Amino acid sequence: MKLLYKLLLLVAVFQFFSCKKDTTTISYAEKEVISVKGMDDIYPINIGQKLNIDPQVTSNKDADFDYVWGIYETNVQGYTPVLDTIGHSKQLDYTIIQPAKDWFLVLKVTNKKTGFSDYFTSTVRIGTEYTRGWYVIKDENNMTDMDFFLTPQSITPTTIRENVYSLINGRKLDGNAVMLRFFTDYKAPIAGTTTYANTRSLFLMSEKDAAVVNLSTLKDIRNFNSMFYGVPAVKHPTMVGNDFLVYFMVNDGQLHSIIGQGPSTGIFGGRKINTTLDLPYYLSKYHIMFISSYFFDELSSSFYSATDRSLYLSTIKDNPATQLPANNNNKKLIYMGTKTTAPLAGFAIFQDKTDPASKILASVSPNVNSFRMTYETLSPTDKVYNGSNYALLFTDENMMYFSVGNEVWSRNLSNKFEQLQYTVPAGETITFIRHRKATGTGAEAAYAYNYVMIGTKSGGNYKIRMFTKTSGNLAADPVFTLEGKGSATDAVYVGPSITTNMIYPSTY
Amino acid sequence: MKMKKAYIILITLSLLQTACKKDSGLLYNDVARIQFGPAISVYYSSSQNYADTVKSQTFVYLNNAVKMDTVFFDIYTMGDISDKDRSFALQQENVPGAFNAVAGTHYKALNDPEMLKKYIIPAGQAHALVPIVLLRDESLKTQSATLKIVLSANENFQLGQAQLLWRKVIFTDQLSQPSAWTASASTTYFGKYSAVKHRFMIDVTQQKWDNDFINALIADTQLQHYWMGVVKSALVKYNNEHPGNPLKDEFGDLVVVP
Repeated sequence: MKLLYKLLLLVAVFQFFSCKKDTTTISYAEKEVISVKGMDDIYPINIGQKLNIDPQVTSNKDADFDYVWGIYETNVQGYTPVLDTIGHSKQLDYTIIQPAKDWFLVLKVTNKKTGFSDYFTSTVRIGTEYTRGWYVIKDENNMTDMDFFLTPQSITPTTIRENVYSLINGRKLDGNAVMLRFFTDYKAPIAGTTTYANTRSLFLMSEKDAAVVNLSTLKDIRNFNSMFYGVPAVKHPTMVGNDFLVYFMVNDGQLHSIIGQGPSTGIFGGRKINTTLDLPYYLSKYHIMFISSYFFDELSSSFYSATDRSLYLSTIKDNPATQLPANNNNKKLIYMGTKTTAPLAGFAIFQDKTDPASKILASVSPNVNSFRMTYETLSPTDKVYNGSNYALLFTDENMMYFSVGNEVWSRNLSNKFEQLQYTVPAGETITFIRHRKATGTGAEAAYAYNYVMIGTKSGGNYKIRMFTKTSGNLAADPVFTLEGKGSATDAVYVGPSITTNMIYPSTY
Repeated sequence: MKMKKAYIILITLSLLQTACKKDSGLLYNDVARIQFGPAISVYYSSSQNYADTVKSQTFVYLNNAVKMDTVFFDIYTMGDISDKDRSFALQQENVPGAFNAVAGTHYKALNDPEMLKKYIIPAGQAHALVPIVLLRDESLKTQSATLKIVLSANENFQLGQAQLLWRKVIFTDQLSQPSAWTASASTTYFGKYSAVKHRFMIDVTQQKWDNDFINALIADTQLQHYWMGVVKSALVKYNNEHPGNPLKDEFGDLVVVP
């Protein structure tokens, strides 16, 4: 009996430890599906406007829903985006306060009866009055400003806001207008923090000044005196652009860079050094730039490349088959632009330094270790020989546009055929020709365009005629014309469909 | 028989009462110990376990009227904290082959009554900063002094991990290689260290080129390009202005900036 009791005791003790609640659940029931209707893919909206969404939410199970709305930013580098909770009820009624750009809207629906949750997302395309439209950089009385053309319905503008840069910033840029560039990921400081965020911005450049403004507000992010580590003694910017990894700026012939992909302060570093001997150089404003970047030194008549990581200009090696050496070729660069991106290639017009009457049109296949140029010698009877305001059709027909007097000509780069495309009215002077294009689908389809832009000035006014083209040839009449006061040198359309820096080529 | 049953039930209940016990985790149950460690901000970063083992300090950037400077090391205790201040003991250990600092000449003696008041883990704390007061002796204008301090056990603390019982400060009144100018920084950014190069950099940029400045350069490529460009251009200019006599360092080697 004693033994029995002892055994019973042992069993009781062991049983105390032997049982553990089984917490595993295996269900063979139908999987729950929560459905949401009434949420659009994209919500275009301006800062300060109300975002109202009242979705219909259903489940295939008995349900009592709990809702959480959140929003977080896209296109972020250098820090982790934070999800801000903006609602806890089915109907969202939220006043937009976020900076203008695309954001992700997230709706988390939880069935409180089953504990099952699902997520639903949309894009909130936050804008301001300034985030969509045509911008024109122009000068009057040797001072540069910017006009803005609103495009509320389509790529065709409806209204002009004159001198928006000086209106907002209280000053104009010194000197005549040079160029305008749009960047999607320029690093601007977030107010009240030490963080720098990708910022949609416009870079204005005049002969003697520069500024980069936030596209949402057009307020200066930086001016010439704050955009360099060590402000250059001479203010003479001639180009700003970017390839996949780097922002570049040429000022007074000297090259400066900023890391494009990765954390940075948006401030250009010191000028690049030409070899360990710090040889003098003076870069042309013309460049070829996309996946990598190439520049031409007017002093040595040599090409160079550069990166953001190196203090030095990178020297170039010739391809054995090149017809024109990349280094010390005794040429003056009249024009150079980017034609295609894959492979990266461009065209250049050179003038011989010894014999200025000798001009060539070169096809440029840039490569640091295998730079190749082939060329044709231009005849004085070629229209392009006496041309100016050159422009390449970027990734389109193999043609170059240029002006001769008040005529706009094209040259087929494959068969050398030259053709008069347009004659500007008497009294107008052509100030620039550019080819720009952008695609768009859905709501942005009305903003897709592919124009050869011809800028002219007459008296104190400018006109920028926007031409479509067929097989490289201009339509008889422009689709529309931007008109304003002053002399324009560049025009850029900016809108939500322009999502990367690479949509517009960094080229003259 | 009933008594037996009662005993059995009692024993069973007793066993059941003591069967469950909360896991107490891994607790330190040893005596109080003390050791050096990294700054408290990186204390839980394993890669920083041995940070700040050696510090460099220079008087060279300070006004001539400044005659002393203080270096701080982080110190940590193990074991229970105390509701009383607890002193800890330090002593100097000579480093063979080095110009060892002399107490009272190059630093305030570790057993100086004024210093002893500071070698305390305050009540309720497990961490403190250890001040080492360096003195600006004339000999530092030509030499770099080394002060190695080691912990010793006392009535409050036994010693902690063997490799965390010492700290070293190398200090001078002449230019010395900043600790941020590492071998990697030499290879990647600045080239071989020399006092001549360091002085040249300071002169042409009017910047200190101390740890803070160098760390800022390493963190910002654009800033680094700016200052290195200034140095590079100045070096080329100097060498051009001194044909046949380019800038050479204290070892007789040509000063080169990569």
